[in-house]
Amino acid sequence: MAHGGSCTAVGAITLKNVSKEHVLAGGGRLSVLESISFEVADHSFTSILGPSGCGKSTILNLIAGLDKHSSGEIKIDGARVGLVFQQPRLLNWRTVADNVVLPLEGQLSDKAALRVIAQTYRTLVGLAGHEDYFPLQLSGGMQQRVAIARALAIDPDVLLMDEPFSGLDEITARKLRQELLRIWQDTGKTILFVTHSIAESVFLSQQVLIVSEKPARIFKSTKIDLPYPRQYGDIRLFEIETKLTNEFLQL
Amino acid sequence: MVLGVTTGTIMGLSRKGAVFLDSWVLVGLTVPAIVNSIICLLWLGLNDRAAIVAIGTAAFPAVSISILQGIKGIDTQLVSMGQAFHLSRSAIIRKIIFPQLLPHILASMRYALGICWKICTTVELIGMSSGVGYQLNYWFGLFSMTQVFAWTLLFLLVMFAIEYLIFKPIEKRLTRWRTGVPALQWAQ
Repeated sequence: MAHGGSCTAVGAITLKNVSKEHVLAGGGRLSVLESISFEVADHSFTSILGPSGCGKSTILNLIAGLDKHSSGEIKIDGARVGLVFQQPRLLNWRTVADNVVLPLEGQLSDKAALRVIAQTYRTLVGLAGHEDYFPLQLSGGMQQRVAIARALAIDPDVLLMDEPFSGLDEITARKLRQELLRIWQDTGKTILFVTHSIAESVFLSQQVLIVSEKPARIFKSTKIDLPYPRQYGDIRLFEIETKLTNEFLQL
Repeated sequence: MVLGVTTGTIMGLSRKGAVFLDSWVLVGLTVPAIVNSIICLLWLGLNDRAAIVAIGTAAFPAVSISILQGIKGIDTQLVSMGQAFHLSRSAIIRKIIFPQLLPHILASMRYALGICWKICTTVELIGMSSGVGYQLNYWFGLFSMTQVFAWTLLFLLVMFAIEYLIFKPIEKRLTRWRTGVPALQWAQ
């Protein structure tokens, strides 16, 4: 990318025995994460898969630095982390273009440069020509595109995504998944993707980390060695999906 | 008058967190505005300053409550988004919190203006030798219906002018993002 300096091979994430406890009002402790360890290679696409409310998002928040872990070690190669939330979390009073460059405004004061960056990433997520729209004038899918563009605009080493497509209808979500893979291949970002959809995780990622419930533990890591671009309806994807489903049911 | 509105707004803004102020604000809200006027006239004399102080103190509680509501309604998810992207504190306040408060500030300014006019007339009626209130009282004394109506009409005209020349354009500009383009809702 045109800005942000070096493009070295950074973006690997390592978690070692990371635990997280909440102190309850009564003085007791609730273990949310228990000894989570995993590695994410740079430029890879990894999914964290687990049921709703199991603590997947907590893992992401810890990596993003929004929350503090109780013990263990989290290491990220590279300083910049981009985040995409389940809801777009856009500023409705700003235009699409201004939303995309929001995180950069503190670092770059050159308006022309900001415009160029906004333009670049809007084009990347398929929103060219929408710069003067306000978020409420866009559909949910398009709002989520803006959110992705905003996360990419800081030229992150790691892109963390917290169920970004779960609020969208399946048709839109499918389209966006394919585009996300295209963006991933174009930019070579490390992507860590949280989801509760087995099909989604299998379709998207090279590695799936399966998380169990209460407290969250990673009980399995599956590699998916299928080439990209992947096709919906591919029988091999379906077989892996069935296998993972069975494993979940046995849990 | 405008001074009263602005100070009211600023006071409301800067005391946002203070819970203990709640009861004081409530007291201020329940004290009849005319009491404010009378006390100010007694303390500060029959002058413009008394009018301004009366207006300020009467408008302040309503304004601060409105702003307080606005602050309670702030979307914390957006704030945490700002934190996730490492926005500075001041940037979060300026770019994420303030825009969410703006509609409340605007609404309370409108409300405060309404209160201002009422108190102002009352103060003028009781203790001033000029202004609409004074005129109303004067012509009431002479039992001149025409003049009372004329002054009221003047009053209305000024209010309309303020509403349509100042508030409406500001509001339109600030809330233009709410106007949707329905056709685009379905375009993917």
